[in-house]
Formats: sequence, structure tokens, C-alpha cells
Amino acid sequence: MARFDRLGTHARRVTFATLVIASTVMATLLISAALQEGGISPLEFTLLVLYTVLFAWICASFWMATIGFVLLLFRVRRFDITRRTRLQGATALPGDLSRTAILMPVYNEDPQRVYAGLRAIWESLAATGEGRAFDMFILSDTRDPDIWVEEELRWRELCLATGGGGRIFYRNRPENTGRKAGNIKDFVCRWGARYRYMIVLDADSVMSGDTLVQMVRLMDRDPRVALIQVPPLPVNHESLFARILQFAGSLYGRMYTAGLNFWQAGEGNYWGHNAIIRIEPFAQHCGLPKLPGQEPFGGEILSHDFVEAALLRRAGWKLWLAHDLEGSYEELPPTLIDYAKRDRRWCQGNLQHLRLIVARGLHPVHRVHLAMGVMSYLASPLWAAFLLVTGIEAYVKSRVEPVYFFGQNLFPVWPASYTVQMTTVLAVTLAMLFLPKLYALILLLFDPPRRRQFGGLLHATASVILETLFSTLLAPVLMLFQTKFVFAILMRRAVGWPTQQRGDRATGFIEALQAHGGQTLIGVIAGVLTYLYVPSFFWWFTPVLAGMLLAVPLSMLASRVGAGLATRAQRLFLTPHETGRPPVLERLDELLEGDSRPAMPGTASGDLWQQAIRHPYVHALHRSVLPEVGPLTRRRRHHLDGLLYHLIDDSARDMAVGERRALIANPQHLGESHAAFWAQMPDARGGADPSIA
Amino acid sequence: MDPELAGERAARLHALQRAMGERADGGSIAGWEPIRERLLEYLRLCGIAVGTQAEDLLAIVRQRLRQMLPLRQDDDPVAAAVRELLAVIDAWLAEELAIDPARDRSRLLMARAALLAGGAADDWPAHVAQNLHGRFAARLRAVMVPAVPEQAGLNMPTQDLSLRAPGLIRDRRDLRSRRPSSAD
Repeated sequence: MARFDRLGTHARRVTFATLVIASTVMATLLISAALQEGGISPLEFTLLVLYTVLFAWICASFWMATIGFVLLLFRVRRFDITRRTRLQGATALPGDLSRTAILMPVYNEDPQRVYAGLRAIWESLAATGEGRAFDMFILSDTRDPDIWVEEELRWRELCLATGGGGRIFYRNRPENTGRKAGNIKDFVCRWGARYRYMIVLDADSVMSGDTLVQMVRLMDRDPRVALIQVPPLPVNHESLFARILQFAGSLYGRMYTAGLNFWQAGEGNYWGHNAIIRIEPFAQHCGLPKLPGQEPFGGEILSHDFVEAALLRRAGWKLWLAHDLEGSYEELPPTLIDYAKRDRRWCQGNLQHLRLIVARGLHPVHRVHLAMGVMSYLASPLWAAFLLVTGIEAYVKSRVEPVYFFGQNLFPVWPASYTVQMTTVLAVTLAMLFLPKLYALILLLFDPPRRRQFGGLLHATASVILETLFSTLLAPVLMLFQTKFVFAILMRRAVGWPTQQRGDRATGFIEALQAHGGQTLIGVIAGVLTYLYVPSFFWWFTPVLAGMLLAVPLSMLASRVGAGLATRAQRLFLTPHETGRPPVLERLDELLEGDSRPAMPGTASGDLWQQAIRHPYVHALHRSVLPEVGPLTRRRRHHLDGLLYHLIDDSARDMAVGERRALIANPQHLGESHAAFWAQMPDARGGADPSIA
Repeated sequence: MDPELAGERAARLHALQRAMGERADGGSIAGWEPIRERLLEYLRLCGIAVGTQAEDLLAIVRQRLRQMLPLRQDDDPVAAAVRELLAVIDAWLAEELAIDPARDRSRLLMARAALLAGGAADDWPAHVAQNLHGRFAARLRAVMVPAVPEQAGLNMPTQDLSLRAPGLIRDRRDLRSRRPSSAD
């Protein structure tokens, strides 16, 4: 049975690879036929190589969508993990779930959003009746002291509001070594043996209780599986940019994930969150080394997820993509600029994988995953190079005078026409880019309930057309962004660990100009040059130019919530989570409408971190959560005393974030600070009348 | 430290010590007043209104301060009073909840947070002042939430990610021979 299964997987991979390679070879042959007249020049050869690589990249995506389309259309479910485990028989009884920890790693995130999400998840889990199998950990790497204290206050509130005391835990690491991967490692090394599985979330993740329970059941049923990834649907933002991306993700995403699952099978990947992981093999095989050399290619592994997946597979474990499980959500960056900032971070992590592709012992499919991750960013500079070389080639061609009479020929020799080949290549390329959108509409046609969730076929079609226009304009902007990022990384300019901007906000003109001004300038220069020197190319080039020239207004318009809501009022870009809000998201909405500040007794004003020194309750809570540390050295004590008097005498305005954090990070000194602050805080002075003496 | 502040602290200390001494003789309590005000403000932040309950609690703090006299020259009387107030509360909590303060400091602090948050009851100062026990334990335990569970960790050894040429065929053979231990 296992051998038969393996053969089936091989057959599917061969099918997929054949489709991609055959299409690429055919397209390359067509274009090379057009280019090779009179021999191939170095420029043409470059063009051919670039085209081949880029076409193969598009092809892989296209065939994944096509396979996914066929599987969904004919409801073929035999390759799904949800179906396979059922076929193979259960090893665990329903209701007998293994102990599972839900992990929420956070780093300077908006606490209100984080805790609203956690509470919605916890309540949804409780509603399943299976909640006792789960504990929850807020694994804070937060450095901002204000956010840190707020996290603690909200953690206690969450425990009391849900009755989750003793099952919902909070800790803040003194040092955030190893970033997110180090944060998870810290959990495994301290509490990993208490649980069989961990479900890793992201700060903006939301998962329904039913989905969490199903994930554990699936793991319980197949002891060879180390990881199941559930694709998250993008939800919740209202800016035009986010709504269009949410629409695209909801409508097309299913096809791509079904197609991806078709060929990756048990060699699936890990996307960093909304996944369940078997802790023991993770501990045994996923301790990440530091890569030799300096950043950006050396040092800590930034995009740890792909590597952890590869290491689990290297140890013989299976990893699956449960593409048909619903109830898994995430939020996208709300604006184009925030999206680009996130890309900048991911870009460095993915390019770091370049050297790991050849790491020893990895499964070939995982090498492909790593290569695809790299290619998702390298494709942009390759596209930019392709456009540049095409322009130069067109210019060179335009300077050559056709010769009709040569040699001993009596009659003119007309230049060979390759219109058919070139038109075919263009049509095929465009079809590969746009056909998946048509597939999605065809799937809606055969699925009336889902069609209604997208606002009906008419509105869905209009949305697809507008989304296509938007993504066409967006493509060159992202291409330039990513090209810049790749070059910046190649120039060894490392990226930090900036917090992601997650809330809706409008992009201002200055911000847009700073981000897109260079792109617009490139558009103007490229437009003028092509119009003057290669006018025939200019008109082909206009879709790319339009994106660059409109980058500033497009970025500003797309960031507007008003524009997003206006399109929603027109029933455009509707998604299932908007038309029929899942209960867990509805609960999240309700919770976000509540208080924006955590509750505490009395009337306390000022920054929350100062309350950890001043406010009796906040102080006690904060100290109770702080890990015990060794005795203070005299030097350290003097330093902290100095900071405290700085706070008391000169206020905290010019104190650095690190200094503020230091003041509330040592339990021993904090206890002393509390009493000293009450004695010496500004409004206490003069309370005792010196004249009494 | 700011010399002005140091002078101010010394003056307050002197006033307090004199007041405590005078009080013992039935005299003025002028040096205690600013400390009392400060402690009342402290309790107000815990949601405790000025009244008999608060005054009873402060009387105990005052008594303890008196026993501490003379204070160290570098100690501030208000700081000492706040410390004593917390010591009174902590001692009561430790007895009420059977917590060993030396061994389980963070649990005691969590209990204090639970008490000061007002989750257990509003009239706790009276119980602390009169050292009454037994009424709050269950309620306090219900609102005390441990930050982390008992440790039970796993080792996470660092993996080898040698960046040498892969030797794909050998790798493939290796991969086939590997099976997860739990599946055996």
C-alpha cells in the first residue's frame, strides 16, 4: 500500500514536471526560431535565457492552478490529508485529543488586536467542547516597555474573562535571541515535554476552534506526520489594497493550494504559522544553526519555516498541506508600502535560502521549495532585466536596414516573418497569466453557494476584471521594489527586525512620493527613451509604464479605507468572510470594539510602563511575571538608580526605549523603585513640611 | 542624587522621627500626616476609599514604622512606609494562602496583584488590619493566574546544515532509509 502510494506520488510529480518542462521547451523553441535568423547575438541569447527562466516560473504557477482547478471542479479529494487519514483508519478516538499548546509569538504588536484574536480563538475552542486538550502561550519578545506591560495586563484580563487561568500563559524573554525561531525554541526547551503538539500562530492569525480540533485529530491519526499546514485566508482589512488582495486570495488561493498539494504530497512545506507541529521531532531535528559568514547571507536563519520543514523531512517525517481545511485566517499589510516593507524582510530571508538549496541530505522536493522561495524574489530583477534587454534589442533591430537584394539573387529576398511564432508566444504567456482567473470564475459557476458568497457571478466577474487591471498596474511597482531589495541585500545591507504595521491607515502624499518617487522617475525616463528611440516598442511597454507612472496616486488611493468601503457598497471584491462572517471573526470584531486600554483599579494616567513602577496593582502583576534573576552588581544597581532618578527628576521624555525597559526588567530593583518612586515622585515633594523639624 | 532632594528627604525623616517620638509621648503628629496622605493616595489607586478600613491599615503601618525607628539616614520615610504597607499585606496574604514568601515570591506577588486589583473583595483592608483569615482564600485563588506552568523541556540540538554539494543520489537513498521513530 505504501509502495503504491509512493508510486502515485512520483507519478503526480512527473506529470507536473513534464507539463512545466514541455510548455517551457515549446515556448523557448518558438521564440528561438524567431531569434536565430542570422545567428543568435549575445543580446538575443541573454533574452532567450531570461525568457526561458521566467516562462518556466510562470508555467509552474499556471500548471499548479490548472491542476487545482481540475481537482476542485471534479471534486477529487483522494490526495488530501483530510481524506487520506480517514482512509487509513483512525488510531485515536474522537474526543481523546492529545495535549496541544497554542503558541502566539509576539514582538511589539498591538496588544488589543493580539488579545482580541486570542480570546476569539479560545472561546471558539471552548465552544467545541474539546478545549481541555489545549493550553495557550503568549510568547512575548516585545521590547517596547509600554506594550510589554499592556500585554501583561491584557493577559490577566483574558485569563479572568475566559476562565483560562492556569491554561493561558504569558512570558516575556529577557533577550530575544534567535528572533521568532529562538522564541519557539525557548518554548520547546522549557515546556515542550508537556505537550505532544504545538499550533503556531502569528500575531494576526485567527483560527476557529473546529479547525484546531481537526488539526489535532489529523495528527493523532497518522503518527508519521510531523506537520500540517493549514493555508490562512487573508481577511479583515478594509482598505482598497487589502480588499483586492483578500478577494484574490479567497477566490484563486484554493486552486493554487490544491495544485500545490497534488505534487508536494507528504513533502509539504511550513509557512511559519497556522500550522500544527509534532513537538518531539521538532525538538530533535529543528535546532537551527547560525549560517557561516556575515549577514545578509550568514548569521541567523531569518526565514526559519522552510528550513524547519526541510529538516523534518530530512529526518523522515511527513509534512502535509491541509488545503481543504477552512477556519484559518490571517491579515495582510493594509497598504502597498506596508506590503513592500514586509517583502523587504522576507526577501532577505528567502535569498538566504540560496545557499541552503545545496545543503546536505535534504529531500529534492524541499530543495524545490527553497528554490521557489528564492525565485519568488529573484523573478523581479529577472523581469526587469528582461524588459531592459528587450528594449535594447528592439532598438538594435530598429537601426538595422533590411537588405532585399544580395548575392546572385535576381529577385528580392523578403525578410522571414515570425509573426505567428511571436504572437503564439505572447498569447501563451498572457494565457498562463490570466487563465487561472477564468478558472476561478468557472468554479464559481458550478458552485452556487460559493458564487453567492462572492456577490454573484456578475459582481465576481467585474471584480476579477478590476483585480486584473489593478494587479497589472501593481506588477511593475512590486517588480521595482523587489529588484531594489534584492540589490540592497546583494550589497550586504542587512534588514533589522521591524514591527509589521497591521492596522488600516491611509498613505499620505509625502510618504507615497518617498516610496514611489524613484519608480515614477524610472517610468518617465523609460517612457521618453522608448518613445523617442523605439516607438514600436513603446506601445507594448505602456502597461508597464502606466504602473510606474501611476504608482504614487495608485498607492495613495489603494490605502484608503473609504475606497475599500465604496467598492464593498458596490458589491465588488466581496469575499465569503465578508458576506457570511464566520463566528470567530464576528467575535473578533465585537472584541475590537471594546476598550482600547486595559483595565486597572483607580485612575491612573501616563505611560503604562511607568505604572509598573508606580501603580500598586500593575507593579505587583509585572513583578510576579518577571523571571527571577541573580543579584544585582553594584555597577548595575547604580546604573538603574541613575535611570530612576532621571525618571523622577527629569521625566521619561528623553529616556531611550532600552533604558525604560531596563528600569522595569529587574524584579529586585523594581521593588525598590516602587517605594522610592512613591517617596520622591514630583507631586509627593513638599508633602512633608520641613519646617516641622 | 539631587542635593535639594537629599536635604528634603533628611528633613522629612527628621520630622517623622520627631513625630513618632512625640506621638509616643501623646504630642503632635505633624510628621506622619504627609506620609499618611501618600499612603491614602496609594490605597486610592487600589480602589480603596478613605475611611475606617484604610485608617485601620495605616495605623498598623505607623506602628511598624515606629518600631523601626530610627530609620537609616539614607532611607526615605515615605518609601519605608510603602514598604511596610506592602509587608503587612504580603504577610497577611502568605498566611491566608499558605504561601512560603521565601520560596514562592512570584506567587505571593500574583496574590498581591489579585488582591490590589479588587477581584477578591472591597473590604480586604479591614481583614488585613485585623489579621482575619479564611474568608478570602478561595476567592483569591480563583483570580490568581500563574504566568507559566512547571518547566518540562526538551533538548533542541543544533542541526548540521553543511553547505557542501549535496550528492543527490546518496541523499535520496538516505532519505528512503529514514523513517520516523514513532512510526516504527
